[in-house]
Amino acid sequence: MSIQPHRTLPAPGGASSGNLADILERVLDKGVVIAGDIVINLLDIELLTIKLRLLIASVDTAKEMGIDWWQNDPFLTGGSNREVEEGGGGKPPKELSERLDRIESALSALAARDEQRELP
Amino acid sequence: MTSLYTFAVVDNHTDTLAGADRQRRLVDVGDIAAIVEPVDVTQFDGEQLEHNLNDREWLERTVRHHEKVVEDLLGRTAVVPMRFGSIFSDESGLRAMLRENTEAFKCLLDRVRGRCEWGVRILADGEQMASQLAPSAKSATSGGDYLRRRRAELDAADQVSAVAGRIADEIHQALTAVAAEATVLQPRQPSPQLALSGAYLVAVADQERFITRVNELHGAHAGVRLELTGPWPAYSFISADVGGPRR
Repeated sequence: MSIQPHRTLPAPGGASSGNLADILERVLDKGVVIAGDIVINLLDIELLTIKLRLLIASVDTAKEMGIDWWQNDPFLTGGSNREVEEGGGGKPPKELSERLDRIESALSALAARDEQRELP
Repeated sequence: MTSLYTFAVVDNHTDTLAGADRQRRLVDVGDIAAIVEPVDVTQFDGEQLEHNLNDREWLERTVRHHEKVVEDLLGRTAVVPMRFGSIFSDESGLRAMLRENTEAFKCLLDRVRGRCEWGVRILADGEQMASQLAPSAKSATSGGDYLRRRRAELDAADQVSAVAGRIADEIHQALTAVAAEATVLQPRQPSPQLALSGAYLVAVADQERFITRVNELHGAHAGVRLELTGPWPAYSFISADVGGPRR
């Protein structure tokens, strides 16, 4: 067995010098959420999180595969907030979230398929 | 009226921000306090936010700053991170929220006090694992031998993900045993190699033992390696929603 030790142990200073993907994974949709007197309302925070996830997924994977439709999708880009608000309530972010999950599954499947060897 | 970007809630110590940027300050309410900075709220609003989210430089700068401020508090005090982008329109709103939710924050602070989060990604190299399960067809000595070996290779490839999943679960259990709490993260980036991404809340006193365990498990299985990140503030163990101030 010849596995090189590989670990990304931090310098004693901590993790903030780590790569952006690690930081995004930790920071973006974690932490205490406050309802109430907050400038960005919760709906926007959900949208923000979802868009950020799309953006991150896109950077390393989707763009390489030529999947960048979301950049032109009016539901996800400009004007989406208004559309969602007219839709009312917290439902649209859930739909977006489900949609995102489907996209991510599709991406995983695509990536997995690329990995598989072809039959002779 | 200045809007306040709120990074985290901490125990109310006076020395928490020693040496920090002058912009940064504590807004304290009894036993707890929030770490805040004044912020230009327009960058987080409406069309400007849309624009900024597509600006990788802005995104990276803003997210890194959030993480840096929260991380600087580690080791000084218990830290409960706030969601990225938590901005209060003024100090009175923030104080009302802190007063209203003091007990909830104290519970969260107790949960993370003296502990840090570590991240472990368990990565499985499918090809390397498959080659352990079946010899390569390329070394076949005859046509019939080639077909037999090729079939075995393909069968091995089919088994790999199940084997990788089982090994990943074992590793996760072994690390969980050294941690105070553990959770499986949903991967943000789809990756065929990623078998499991775990987060572990580890007491500072157990940290060395945890890291030693990670190193032991790394390389214990052919084709499986571990990536360790940390120490982080307990982001993955604080997903609570708390209510805002009543108006």
